Amino acid sequence: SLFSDEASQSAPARSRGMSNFGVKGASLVTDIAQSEKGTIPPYNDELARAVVDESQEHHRSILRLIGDIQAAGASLDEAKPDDAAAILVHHQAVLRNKRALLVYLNERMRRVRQLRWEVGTGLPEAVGENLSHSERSFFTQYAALVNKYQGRRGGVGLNLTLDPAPPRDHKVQVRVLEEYGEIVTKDGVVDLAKNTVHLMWRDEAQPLIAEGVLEKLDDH
Amino acid sequence: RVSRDTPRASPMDEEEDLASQLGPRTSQVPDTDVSRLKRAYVNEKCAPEILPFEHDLMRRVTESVDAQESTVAASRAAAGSGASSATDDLTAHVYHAELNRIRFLMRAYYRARLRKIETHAVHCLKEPDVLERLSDLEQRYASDYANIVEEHFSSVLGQMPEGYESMVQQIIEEDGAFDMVPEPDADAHVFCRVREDRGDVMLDPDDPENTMDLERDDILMIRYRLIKKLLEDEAVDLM
Repeated sequence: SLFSDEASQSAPARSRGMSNFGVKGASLVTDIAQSEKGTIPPYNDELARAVVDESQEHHRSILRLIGDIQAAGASLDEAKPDDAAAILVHHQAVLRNKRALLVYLNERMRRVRQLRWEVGTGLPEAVGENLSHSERSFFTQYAALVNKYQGRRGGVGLNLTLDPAPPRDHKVQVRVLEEYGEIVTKDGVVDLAKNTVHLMWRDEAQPLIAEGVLEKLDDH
Repeated sequence: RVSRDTPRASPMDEEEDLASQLGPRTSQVPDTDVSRLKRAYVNEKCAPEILPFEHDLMRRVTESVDAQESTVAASRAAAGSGASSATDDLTAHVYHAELNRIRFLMRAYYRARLRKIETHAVHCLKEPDVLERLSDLEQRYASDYANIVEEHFSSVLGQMPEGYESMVQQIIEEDGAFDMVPEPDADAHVFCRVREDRGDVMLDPDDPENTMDLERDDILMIRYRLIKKLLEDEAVDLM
């Protein structure tokens, strides 16, 4: 049958008795569309699998319909319009589901890529927990890809994550937020003790600002 | 900006006027390259598709930056030993500031291109005239990137029914179109400024009667497709 009894019982009231094609796919897209920008919600494995399983059911329906036509001795080209339409609807339903899945995966992948540029090669544990195994693997590979492109050997030799905005001052005043210890700078050794203020070269301070170790002080 | 009716000298023009008053450019190559770099970056940022990679420019700029870095390092060493004057310190400061600005432009240029490559990776790889606009490193990046995306997508698409697992075709069909490959939108509108007088120009082959009189410093808002050739000829800059 075109409707799975199980599905029509668990589907929202408005679709009971009507086709529930595409509902799960739409939910998946909503999941990521309504999430807060800049965050990555937990990977909805259950729903993604459900969309895939539904697609497999549609495909089984297609094969059944084709089988019925051929069993009646007709070729597909000679199929009745009703049968052809039924096959087409199932086919389009699979395409719709595929599109929903890819929207979900693609948007999450875009946010995972963003992590490499904003945070660096270390994946924060809190974020990692929300990613699927394949997404974690993608992050590692993508981070390595960017490293290779940036590198001195076999790459352009420039850290591309620096300077997200045009530089204004070449020295910045920073306050130390977290105890960091001594670092070696172009001006010599600097002791980044908590709450101390320093005047540092912008390109040396920037990675530490991005990490949250230093806070840039505006000059007023 | 669009409503600027009277052609006003652009900042680039003022620089050039001043420079010509100061005498012939000898070792001024870094300056010319900087303005070229800035134009390359802005054009890249505004164009919907990836533009040809500026091989020679980037090579020269990288060399200049490395050379200037050594100069700065040397003068800072001199400053440390107390052997330099206040003027030398100031010069070092100015060189350093300039270096930072140039490095920003380089980083931003590479980044803008990588973004486009990521968005249209498969398209870049399958269209030879697009692929040749990428540097060797970028071509490798596009290929590696497309591979890791395919690997990731296939973790889900691989479970789909037979024939629906491809990320470039909705349904796998022999001789079927690659209907899932995004392409840049050549009909996107861009702002551009005319760099030289061109007289009456036919821009739209679909509307050949409708010519435009292009004069230096004119600003147009127009579909990218129609000024693509002018951009290639360096007759316009995007803004």
